[in-house]
Amino acid sequence: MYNQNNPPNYPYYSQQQHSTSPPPLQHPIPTHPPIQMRDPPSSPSPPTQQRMTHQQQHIPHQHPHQHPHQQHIQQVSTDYNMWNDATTQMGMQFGRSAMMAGSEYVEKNINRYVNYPALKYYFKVNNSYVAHKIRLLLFPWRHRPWSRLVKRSEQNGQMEGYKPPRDDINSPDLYIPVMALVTYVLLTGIVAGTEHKFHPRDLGVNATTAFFLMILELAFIKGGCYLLNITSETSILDVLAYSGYKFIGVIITLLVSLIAPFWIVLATFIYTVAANGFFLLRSLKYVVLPDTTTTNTVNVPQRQRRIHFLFLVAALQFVFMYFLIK
Amino acid sequence: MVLSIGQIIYVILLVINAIAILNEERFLARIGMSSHIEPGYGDVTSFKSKIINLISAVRTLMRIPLIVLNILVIIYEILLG
Repeated sequence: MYNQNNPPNYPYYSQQQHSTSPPPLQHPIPTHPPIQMRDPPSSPSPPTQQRMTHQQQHIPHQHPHQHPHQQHIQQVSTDYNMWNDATTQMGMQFGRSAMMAGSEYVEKNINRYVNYPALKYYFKVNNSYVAHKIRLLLFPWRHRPWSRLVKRSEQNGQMEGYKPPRDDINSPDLYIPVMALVTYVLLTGIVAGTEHKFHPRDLGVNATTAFFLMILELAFIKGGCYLLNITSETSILDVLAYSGYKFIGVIITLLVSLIAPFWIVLATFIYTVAANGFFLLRSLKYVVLPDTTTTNTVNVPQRQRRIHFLFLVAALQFVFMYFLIK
Repeated sequence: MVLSIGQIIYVILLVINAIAILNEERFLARIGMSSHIEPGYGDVTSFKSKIINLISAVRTLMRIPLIVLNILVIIYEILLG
């Protein structure tokens, strides 16, 4: 109906555009706000019909006395604009305040449960750090030294903590583990897809399994630290980062398994497990055996037991990575 | 290996149940891991005393929450499992 009625109006518009006055009815929306407001929202078709009849009624009116009507239209449109502006402003203000309140609420609650600055430290990475770290994870054999750089305060040289990952390649970060975990989950989907047995449910299952294995390793390391009476200031996030680095090796193995025969995959798997175990052995040394040179409280059998625990953690990488690849 | 979050919660719950169910007089005292045998005997930081400490902590702390959690899980399993 709209399409049928509209074409006869076009010549009229074009005529009017030839005259000096600007076309008043080219924007039908601002001219009829009251009708739109008064319309009962019962059905979608009657409003359009009413609008059409209204427009048609206007058209013969307009020709004889154009100026008053145009003023009226302009007034209506300015009124509408003002009304529109006021509501927009009000809506914007309301929305802004609501959003601010919401974000404030979220921030407050996040800060209550998550130590935000401590978490931020683990994401202070840059490109060269990530590239070097991945290279280190795959070829850890010749690397040296393994100790983390200590950040000292500028006044008295006191130790304030460790330098962030972008200044220190030995520092643990959470960027690589998070990205590797996501990549691993997607890659398992691709591997399943090449074997034509992909199901979307598997993505969730793999993600949960990987997550559970990380939690298990975290619990193992922390429980071992508790039982062996290791009181170092390493946070849970450090251990989580170290346990997340094994996804790099898993990703490499999965990528190789897409293109290579079985024995190459097996060799890659063994190599990445060995590299990851060696990396953990060297990196977790400062967690498990903190400052053995300065403090003599650790007696010889306990130190021996800790070294065994360290080797056990490194050997468990084989089990975890096997479950991840399977 | 298929694991869902519900199964992980079950595993954690069952392990805590297993620790909490160990009887002080009948079992732990017999294998020499009772918590009130050695107050001052041996150092506090040894491997064994740590385990004893952990077990007694779980037994003391988790008793009431475990009752509630087990009842919830049993009701859920009967109705929907």
